[in-house]
Amino acid sequence: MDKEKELYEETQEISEEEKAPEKDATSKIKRRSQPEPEKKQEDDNLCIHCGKNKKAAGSNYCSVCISKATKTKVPVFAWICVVVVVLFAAVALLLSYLNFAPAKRILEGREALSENRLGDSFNSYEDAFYLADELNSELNWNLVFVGRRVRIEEAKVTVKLNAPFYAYNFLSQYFTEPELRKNPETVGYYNDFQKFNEFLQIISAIDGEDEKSADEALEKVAVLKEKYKDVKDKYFYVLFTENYIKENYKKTGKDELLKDIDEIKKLYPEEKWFYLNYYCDLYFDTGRYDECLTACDEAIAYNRNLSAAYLNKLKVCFINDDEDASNAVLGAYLGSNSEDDTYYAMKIMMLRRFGDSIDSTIEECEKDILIAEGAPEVYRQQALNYLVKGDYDSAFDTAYNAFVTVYNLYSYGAMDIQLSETRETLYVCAKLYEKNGSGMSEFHSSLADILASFEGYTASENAAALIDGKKTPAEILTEGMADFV
Amino acid sequence: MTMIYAICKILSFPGTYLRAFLEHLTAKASGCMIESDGYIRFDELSGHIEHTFPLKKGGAVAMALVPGIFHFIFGVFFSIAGLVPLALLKVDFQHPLMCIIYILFTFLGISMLCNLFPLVDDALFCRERIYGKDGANIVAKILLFIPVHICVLGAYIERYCVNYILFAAFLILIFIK
Repeated sequence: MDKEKELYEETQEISEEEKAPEKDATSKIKRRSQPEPEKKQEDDNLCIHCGKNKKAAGSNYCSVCISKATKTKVPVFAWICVVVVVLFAAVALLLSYLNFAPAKRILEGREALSENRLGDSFNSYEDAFYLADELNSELNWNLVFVGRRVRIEEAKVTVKLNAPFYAYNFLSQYFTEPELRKNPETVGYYNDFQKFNEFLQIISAIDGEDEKSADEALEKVAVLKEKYKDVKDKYFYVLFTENYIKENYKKTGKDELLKDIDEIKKLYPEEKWFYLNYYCDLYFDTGRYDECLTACDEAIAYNRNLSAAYLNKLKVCFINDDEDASNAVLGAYLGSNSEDDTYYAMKIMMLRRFGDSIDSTIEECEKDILIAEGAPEVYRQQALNYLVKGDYDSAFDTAYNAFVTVYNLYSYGAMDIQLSETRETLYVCAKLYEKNGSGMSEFHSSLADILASFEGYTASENAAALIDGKKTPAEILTEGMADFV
Repeated sequence: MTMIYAICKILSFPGTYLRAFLEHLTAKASGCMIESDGYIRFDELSGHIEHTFPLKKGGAVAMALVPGIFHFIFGVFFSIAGLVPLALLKVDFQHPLMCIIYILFTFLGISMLCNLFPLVDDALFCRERIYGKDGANIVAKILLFIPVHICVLGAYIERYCVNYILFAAFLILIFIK
């Protein structure tokens, strides 16, 4: 190779006269590997390229060919192109780095959807948009975008997750964008929401404290029920609204509600988001535990993030005094969910129900409160632990903290939070503190106001038994379903 | 076929041009005789350069593999940089500048990936130099077995423009999904 290089240099000095006759030689360069054998036999000393001149010393080529070949320069334009490509690569690297996090969230969202982890999927999509906004505001330059069509993907998750409520939040926020208006899928969701909106207005007009306004709402629903009995998609929302009012405002019996849900399931088997979780609650509340377990399994298969179904299942396992099955529920929850507040709450319930001592449960719960960053349900469980221990001051303080947190979350529009459970826990803890407390609670001065806010409140059977002293906290909270709600 | 080949190469002109450029550099480094008659042409040499075969085995391997490796790395990189925002983040003409940039990245990446392989002659010559009479030693034969044979297969795929059909199908699949 070195010899050839030297030859290249030597050939630069070859005179023009010497080169001229061979000017066309390089244009006749042919692609070939070795000289043909016959030719080789004829004259081994000829250049293997042009086949005319003698080989230069130490080379297979003649000096003319070497000279011509070395003059074939790489065009300047090619070097400019390379510089442009390298610059492009730098920009691509920067943009890829910025796009990585939102893109990862969208992939996670899709994966979660394919695994029926609807809550995770929804959160991932929301995260993708949030991250893009965050990056742009940090850079002070809009470089990262998540397209509008990702909203359509998200819409599919929200509709599956909890159709009318999420559709309401989602579409009222994004339907103004022309892209979504043009898309037949989102138009479909929007029309669904519009159908539901009529009934939503009936629900929102009800004054929760006034029994009469609930009756009036039910009368309106009855009129609409007759009007829309042949309009299949609207009739679903009629039944939904009727059921919602009965459950939340009329305190209709669970058995009657179950019949209503059976009817809805028969007419609208595709609306799984509505009846699957409902069945879990109703079967549990009516004491049909085997059916509850089946319903929970079905609900979990539909949405593996449905924490309420896991909780119901766990409570049934507690009632059956089945520690192994309880462990299996906790394991299954962790298999599809992160170590969130529901996980810690379930873990603490397990420890209280099957653990050795309440002191170790309290100690463990303290650690979990720190990890779960003050999740209200973990606080509530700690309040129950203190009740079992007989430390009514701490129970009241902890329940108050849980309620304040849960109420704030509720005010900010959080769903799937246990507001009523936390409220009842605060009520029980306040009553027992009033009766048995030392008067040294951190929130002692608020006690009277808290109790006043519960005037006319009807506690559940177990909660009432605790307050009246008919049952001890240990009897209710370390046996049976390990909770009074 | 030559016309289809040349049209495909013109359609993927950034990759075609860069491929020929890299071949040119590699040929120079390998001590080949070169007659460059433009990088993009309307014949079967479009995207390649006319050169004699290198005398050394290393040169033969370099001519067959090196430009392709560069193109593969940059092609995959540009394709990801363009396709992730377009197909996953679904960036559209609501943000025209970024959308055009990502389309350019994708075009550049795919055009590079469409110009991965050497000419069939170069690929076959490389295989001959490694596995033929007076071939390479056993270690090199083992190490180069997969790359060299992929190279030969890819060279035929590229000669008949099958890679363009595959990439078109790939893009359609990604954007439909």
